[in-house]
Amino acid sequence: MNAIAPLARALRRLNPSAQLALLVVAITLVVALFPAAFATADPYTLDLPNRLLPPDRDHIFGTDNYGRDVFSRVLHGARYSLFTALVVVAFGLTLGCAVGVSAAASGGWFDEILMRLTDVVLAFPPILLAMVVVTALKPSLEVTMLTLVLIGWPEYARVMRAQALVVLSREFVLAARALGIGPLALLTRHVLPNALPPLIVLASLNLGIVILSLAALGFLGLGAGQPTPEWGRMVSDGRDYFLDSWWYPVYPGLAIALLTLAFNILGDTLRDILDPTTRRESS
Amino acid sequence: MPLSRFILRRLLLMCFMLIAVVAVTFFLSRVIPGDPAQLRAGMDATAEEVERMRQRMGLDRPLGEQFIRYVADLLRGDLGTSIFNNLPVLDNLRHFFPATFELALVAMIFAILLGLPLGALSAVRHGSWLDQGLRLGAMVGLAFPSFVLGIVLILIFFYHLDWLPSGRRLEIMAQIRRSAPPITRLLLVDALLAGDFTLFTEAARHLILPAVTLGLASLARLMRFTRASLLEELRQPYTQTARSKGLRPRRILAVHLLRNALIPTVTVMGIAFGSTLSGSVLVETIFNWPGLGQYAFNAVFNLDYPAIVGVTLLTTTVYLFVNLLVDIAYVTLDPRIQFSGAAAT
Repeated sequence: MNAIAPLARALRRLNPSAQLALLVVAITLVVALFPAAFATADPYTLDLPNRLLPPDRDHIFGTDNYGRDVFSRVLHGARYSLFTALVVVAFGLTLGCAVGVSAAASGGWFDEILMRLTDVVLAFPPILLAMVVVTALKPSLEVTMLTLVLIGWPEYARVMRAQALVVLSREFVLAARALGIGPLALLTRHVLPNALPPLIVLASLNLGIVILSLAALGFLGLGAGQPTPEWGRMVSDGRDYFLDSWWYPVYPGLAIALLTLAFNILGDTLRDILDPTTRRESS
Repeated sequence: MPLSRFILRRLLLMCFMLIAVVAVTFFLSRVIPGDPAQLRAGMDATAEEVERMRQRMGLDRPLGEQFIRYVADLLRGDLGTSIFNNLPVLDNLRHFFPATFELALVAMIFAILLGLPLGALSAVRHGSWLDQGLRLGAMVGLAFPSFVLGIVLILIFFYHLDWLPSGRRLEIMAQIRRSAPPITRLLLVDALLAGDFTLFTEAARHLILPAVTLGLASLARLMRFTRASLLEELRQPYTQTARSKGLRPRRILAVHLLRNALIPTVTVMGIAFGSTLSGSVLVETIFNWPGLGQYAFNAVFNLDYPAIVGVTLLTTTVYLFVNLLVDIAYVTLDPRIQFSGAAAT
């Protein structure tokens, strides 16, 4: 299977909204890597006399209640949103794939136990489960990320299991087995690559959800602590001042919305390319 | 398998899930940093007092025994004592649940009343500018965090236009003057029962902004799903047949398509209701809404673990129950579906 060729072909034929979304993600990536190159001020320097200034030439997104430049803080915050989301999704995907493949390959009681485990995790409303786990483990950015991985893997595991079952019943698998391939090589070389496309689609659609969840937990005070310029945290700090200083919570909030929107559009586009069989819009 | 056996099986499955959910929260409550006995006894308690509290709370017993006792307490409705206000968690939940339920219900009604027709419109006119606009709108609706939307809506409709209140279920004076007896504790219903129209309007005005904020994501989700499943039906051969029979498009839509397209949408409604309930944590915080969400937020802030677990257990139970209802509705609406006991996801 070769996902690169159709991807490259499609890149040229992408519709405008997908191209725009790709641009947003690319810019965010560059900003997340080199925030200092674009920021107009240090995101941590306190400047109390200039607190809560409205947007102007010097501070294009205004300043916050400590006089820090909101624009620079939003730029520096990009990494806490983008990279953490990528890490969370990557770990969830890996864990889910491992569980899904082993469940499908072994079957029997092992399969049953793993699948009931996914049922239990999926039974919880996600935000509340995250709140319970993060509070139990003491809030920090790492704990929040770990929690989102723990909440995220069952979805991948179930899709992976279903996919792997389909692939395992195909004739080429039988042929590979007849040729004497070992079980591990069979899974990694044949089953995994053939089962992967829907999972990539799912993962890309989940990026947006994870960004929103990270921001939501940050907003609830369960993510990175002060003075980290995490977007959700900034919205929640700005909430105390928003009637007179709308720029303080609104700009970080728009950043969350924009990045999530971009990933959602990309996920949709990727699904249309990689997974044309499922026309059902994911919910 | 007859319907009754299907329901019975799903109920059993739900009980199993609830036990598992309780086990997870119990396990987590033992991981929590800080000594619960110390917390209950107070920070300035002596070592002896803490030890006595530990014995009274049963924390010195083996873990298995503690779990059985924990489950037994839950079955008796004892969810522990809130560390924050020292009241039984169950009383707190009883007090805060109606406000959240009313908010979530109104948000869902808003999402369904707008989401289904807009999604259908989008599908019927698919490819048009209207469709493109609606789809983009839905994408934005899904991506916009509720806690930011709430802030923006308050800025516009309260601060600048002064059309709507910024939070609470009622103004404080109205709360004191309120004439309607709390029968259902849902303000809208209580006001109607008492025939108090002023109270009804006031309560409704307070509900608009939070309900829109809470319901927007579900609205977007329902729109997208309705559009997709209606498009699917439009591609079916029977639509062609109906067309070649000379039926008017509107009649085909109303009689043949909508029914088939709406059945899968029922599932999405269930999922949407679940996310609405848990999303209320964020929205209630913004709008100062005295419900479960705000209670949970304060509980997290105060590391009030029994309270957090109480909210989670209650919400998860409602969530599972709604899913059960959805599954039942699903098999009743669509005779093609076999009762398989598997959850429709």
